[in-house]
Amino acid sequence: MQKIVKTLLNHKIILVTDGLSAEEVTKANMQLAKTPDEALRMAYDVVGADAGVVVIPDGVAVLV
Amino acid sequence: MFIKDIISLPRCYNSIMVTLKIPYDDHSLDLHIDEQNLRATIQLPVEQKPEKSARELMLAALRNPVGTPSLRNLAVDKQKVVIVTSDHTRAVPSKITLPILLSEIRAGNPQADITILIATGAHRATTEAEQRAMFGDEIVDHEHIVVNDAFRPEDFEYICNLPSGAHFSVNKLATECDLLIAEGFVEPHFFAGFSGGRKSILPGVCDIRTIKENHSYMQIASPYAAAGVTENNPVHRDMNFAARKVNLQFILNVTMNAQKEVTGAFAGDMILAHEQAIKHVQNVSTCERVVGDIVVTSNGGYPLDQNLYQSPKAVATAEACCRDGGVIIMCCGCRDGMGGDDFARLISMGTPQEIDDYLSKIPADQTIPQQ
Repeated sequence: MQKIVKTLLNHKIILVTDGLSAEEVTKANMQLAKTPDEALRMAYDVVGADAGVVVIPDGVAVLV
Repeated sequence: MFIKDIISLPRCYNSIMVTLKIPYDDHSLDLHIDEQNLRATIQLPVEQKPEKSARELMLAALRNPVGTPSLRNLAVDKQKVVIVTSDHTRAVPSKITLPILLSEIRAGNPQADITILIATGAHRATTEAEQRAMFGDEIVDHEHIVVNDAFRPEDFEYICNLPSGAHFSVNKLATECDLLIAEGFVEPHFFAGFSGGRKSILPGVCDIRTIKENHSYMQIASPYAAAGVTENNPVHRDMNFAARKVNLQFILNVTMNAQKEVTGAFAGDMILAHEQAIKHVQNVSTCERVVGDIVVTSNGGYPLDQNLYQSPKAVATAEACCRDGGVIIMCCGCRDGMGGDDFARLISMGTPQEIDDYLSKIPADQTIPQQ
């Protein structure tokens, strides 16, 4: 929990889920998107359309 | 201007969209991304089937333990023996490991009085139905099984303070036996570095105060309290110290692939055998780090993405690959919602700075369970 708070100090987190309401997600200091594509469009709006994207399909399975 | 516009047009028309599958709940979601934006996809290569069966791997490890005599030799003349095993939240294949460990101990001392102690840490008790699923009826019906209860002070004995200054009280069963061994499962753990080994003792069979102090803000705030990191990791250091202090004499740990097939077995000294298992996990799980402006990830779908509380695991991996000020896209089914009242309350109590300030002021022995 405190780790994700530290992450939020320096990064925006967009959550793709249908398990939580927009209000819950916003209160939890994140933004809600319904699909990965919608989330990506929202992210391009923040960091620019030429942004470099890294995809880690399973973030628990890998060590980086 | 006009010429430049014409030249730039084909680039636009030639853009190639790539479709990537992101695990989500019990299925996956499609991510469509312009190839020109895609800097890297970080994932493990398709896994090979293990060459040997789980049982063969374990027997081979027990025949050649690292840094200790064999378990059957250790068990000679040892009357009270305690085997610490994992609880219902871990995927240790105890149905295979426990019968092997029991028969090795009884080969050394047929009269050994053996207790199986379930390392719950601060989790709820493992139910009998769960024990039957994990261990099999044979073991539940015929062996002596005790479930650690971190909230029953009379079960624990204060041992010492740990290198960080944290309090260390352990289940008396671990101190009042003649031989203490543990079985476990080694995988990356997002602040202990890796699970398994010494983790069977701390937090496994400790009281709630010890667990709170081991998981305190100060400990977890360390940059070394991270997945895959053991060097300088204060959480790991305290855990190793605690397990040595109560003389955890022998471990049998396994590694598994995504399909929960055993890929390796490691037996012997609690540090040396654990380090071997860690090397194995590093060899199969380490990917080259590539940093981007946007990182898309998931917790691997259900069950790990069943609530938001679990999401920091993948977010930590994403953060390591995301530049400061970048955006992390986390795909998380959350079929059970936020996951825990403490977590929901804390993550929603203010801005990230306000929450961090609040958490940093909580004394170690008052650490909130989901903090």
